[in-house]
Amino acid sequence: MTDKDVARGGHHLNEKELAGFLRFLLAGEKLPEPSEEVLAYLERIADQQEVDDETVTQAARAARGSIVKERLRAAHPKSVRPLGSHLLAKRTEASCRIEDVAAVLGERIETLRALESQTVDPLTLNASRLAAIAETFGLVVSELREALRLALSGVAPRALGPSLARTHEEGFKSEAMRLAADDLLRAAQARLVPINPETDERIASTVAAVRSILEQRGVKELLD
Amino acid sequence: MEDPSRELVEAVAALDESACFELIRRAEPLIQAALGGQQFASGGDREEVVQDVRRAVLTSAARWNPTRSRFSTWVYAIVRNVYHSYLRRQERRPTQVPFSDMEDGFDPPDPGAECEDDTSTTDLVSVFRRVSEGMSEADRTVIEHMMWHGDGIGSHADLAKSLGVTDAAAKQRVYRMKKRLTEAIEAELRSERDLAANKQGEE
Repeated sequence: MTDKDVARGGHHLNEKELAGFLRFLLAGEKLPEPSEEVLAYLERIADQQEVDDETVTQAARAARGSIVKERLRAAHPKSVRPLGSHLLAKRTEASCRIEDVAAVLGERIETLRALESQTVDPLTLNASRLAAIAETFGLVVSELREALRLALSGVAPRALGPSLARTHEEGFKSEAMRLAADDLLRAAQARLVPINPETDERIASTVAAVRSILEQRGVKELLD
Repeated sequence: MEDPSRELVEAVAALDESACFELIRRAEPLIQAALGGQQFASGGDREEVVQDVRRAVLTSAARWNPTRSRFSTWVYAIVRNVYHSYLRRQERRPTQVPFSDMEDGFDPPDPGAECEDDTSTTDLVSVFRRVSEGMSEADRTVIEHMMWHGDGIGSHADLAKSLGVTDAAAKQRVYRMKKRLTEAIEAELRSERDLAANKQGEE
C-alpha cells in the first residue's frame, strides 16, 4: 500500500501517523501506550472529526450535572438541619451554585431558593420531587425524615432567610451567613414546637413514598 | 491543535458553563478518535465510557499542567485510564462471544496481549506496506476506512456505500480485515525478529 492509498480528501497520513494507526491496531483490545506516533495519529483523526455544538452542549451539561451531584453527595455537614437549611449547607459545602443544582433537579431556581430559605412547606413538593432531591443531594432516607421533622417542628426563620440569600456574587459567603443565622435562631428557641400527629403522619407517608421511589430506581445506598 | 488556556481550565474548575462547553468541545474529537476503533459490549457501554471520560476531563482539568504535557496527551491518558477500567470490569462479567466470532470460530483476542513496542516507526510502516501490497482494491478501501473511522459502532455507512454492500456486511468486512491485518503484521514482525535473532546467533 502506497501513500496514495492512505489518502483522504487529498490528505495523507504521514509515516508517523500511519505508525500510530498500526500501534492502535496491534494493541488489540487495549489502547496503545501514549507515544509520539499514537498522538500524531490521534490528533490527525481528531482534526477530521465533526462534532456539532448541540452534541457538545448536551455532553457538557450532562458531565457538569454529574459533577454537581458528585460534589453534593460528598458534602456531609456536621449535623442535620431543617430540610431547607440542610440542602443549603450541603450546597455551600459542595461549592455548587443554586442555578446548577436547580438544573440538575429540573426545578426552577425560585423553587429551590424558596425551599432553602424555608418559605415553602417541603411537604407541598410531591414524593417524586423529594426523591429527586434525596438522590441528587445524597440524602439517606432517615436523614430526609429528620430534616423534614426539623423543618416542620420549629418556627421557620423566614425573616432572615431570603434577605441574606439573594446573591452569590461574593462566592458562598452569603449562604454561609444565612446558615449561621438560621442555626443561631434555632438555638435561641427555647423549645421546638412539637409536631402535631397529623403532620407526623404526613411526614411518615411522604418518606415511605420517597423510599419506595428510591427502591424502584435502585438507589440502594440511600435506603437504611 | 491548540491547547486550552490556563484561564479556561481554571474556569472549568469553578464549573463555569461556557468554559465546560469549550473544554468538552476541544476534548470531544480526541475522545471519539481514541475510542473509534475500540469494541464495546453495547452502544450503551460506549456512551457510558465516553461520559465518564468527559466527567474526568472536567473534574481533573485543574490538575492538567501544560508545561508537562500537551492537551491531547493528557486527554488520551484519561481516555486510556477510563477505557482500561471498563475492560477490567468487563473481564469480571460473564463473557459474551459476539455472533461474528462464533461464525468465524475465532477466539477473542487476549486482552492482556500487547504488541511489543520496540518496533521502530520505519520497520512497522514497511511491514504494513509489504503485507498490504497484494491486497485488492476493496480490501484497501476497508483499511482506509479503518484508518479514518476506526471500527466503532455506526461508522460503516460510507464504507457500505463504497463497497456496494449492506451496513452489516461492511461491519463484518472491517472486523475480518482487522483480524487479518493484525495477524499478518504480527507474523511478519515475528519472522523478522526470528531472522535477526538467528543472524545474531550465527555471528
